[in-house]
Amino acid sequence: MAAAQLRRDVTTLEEQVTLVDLVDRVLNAGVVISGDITLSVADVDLVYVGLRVLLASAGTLDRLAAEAAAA
Amino acid sequence: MSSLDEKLLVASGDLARLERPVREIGDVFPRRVSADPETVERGLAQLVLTLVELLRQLMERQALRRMDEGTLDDDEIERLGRTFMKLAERMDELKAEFGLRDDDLNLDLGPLGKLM
Amino acid sequence: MIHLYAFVLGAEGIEELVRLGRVEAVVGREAVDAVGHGLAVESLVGRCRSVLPVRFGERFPDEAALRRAVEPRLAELERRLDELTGCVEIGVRVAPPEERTAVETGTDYMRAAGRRQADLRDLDRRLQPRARKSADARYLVARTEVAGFAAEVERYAREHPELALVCTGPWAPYTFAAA
Repeated sequence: MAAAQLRRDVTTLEEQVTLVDLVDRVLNAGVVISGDITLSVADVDLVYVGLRVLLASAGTLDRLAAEAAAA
Repeated sequence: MSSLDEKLLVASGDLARLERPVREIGDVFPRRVSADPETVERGLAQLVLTLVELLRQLMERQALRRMDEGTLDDDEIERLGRTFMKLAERMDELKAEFGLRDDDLNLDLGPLGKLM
Repeated sequence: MIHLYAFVLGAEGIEELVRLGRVEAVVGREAVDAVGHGLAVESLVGRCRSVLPVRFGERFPDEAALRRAVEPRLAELERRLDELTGCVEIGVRVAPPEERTAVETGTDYMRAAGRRQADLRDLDRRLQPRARKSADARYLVARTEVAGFAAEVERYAREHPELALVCTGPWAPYTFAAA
């Protein structure tokens, strides 16, 4: 299937709201085949399998946040 | 081809109370990098904060679902709430450090794609 | 790498399919991000009799691996696809009236967030009769009933101008995929 194009000039709050609803569903709902991966917040496990691909960036986000804080 | 505009069936009241205010889905991050280190830093901060805000919203929703289901005990609820509060505070601090207003936060989903 | 978007029944004009009997898996061989995944799944809704969205992140090294992983669940997937035929999902979100209550403890924070859900109870009562199922302010609605459903939400919004409210959809039935 060809990758869908997202129009990257979305500017309104309405479109923002809709995008959050889409991403929430895509990451947090739908059929799971490969099993769940757990993400912890404050030592509480929140099941969030979609974040498997985001977890690779968590280290990057930490580093960037640390750089920002040190600035 | 964004079909997202057709997905808003009803919108009423001040939507900023549902989300942090207006964001732009701008260029994919690398195109923002310029020779000016200050610009780069600020751009990175914008990106980080926007992504963190998105994640915070999604995780809060997940936590609320668990709370409704009754699968969190009182201690867990307290800890989760405190963490989300701290996260919101920390974001305000970071925004202040970079002189960013809510308006400046870009929602850039480039990294969600990069990680593939 | 094969990316799995959704399971469908009655696919029209979709190129990348893995046929699993009546059920077909819609796949892609290019990398796609979360938003791309979502938009692609939404584009299936008009083109298939039934769409069962798959969570973002499901990937398989090849078609054989996908078949092995899905085989044991096929009967269940087919059952859900039949149940979801002609249905879409609509979500409602509400922010409370402005209140300047000081939130000090983590529990208060969560309770305030939870109170937003309470505002939905009234609306929920009015929407229930128009939905096949509901969960967590998300409703499974027949596609033919979407306009009437949205009109009811619009009426509620007009009666409660103090609330910030959004109603989005129709979405593929993500929330009801695991019913």
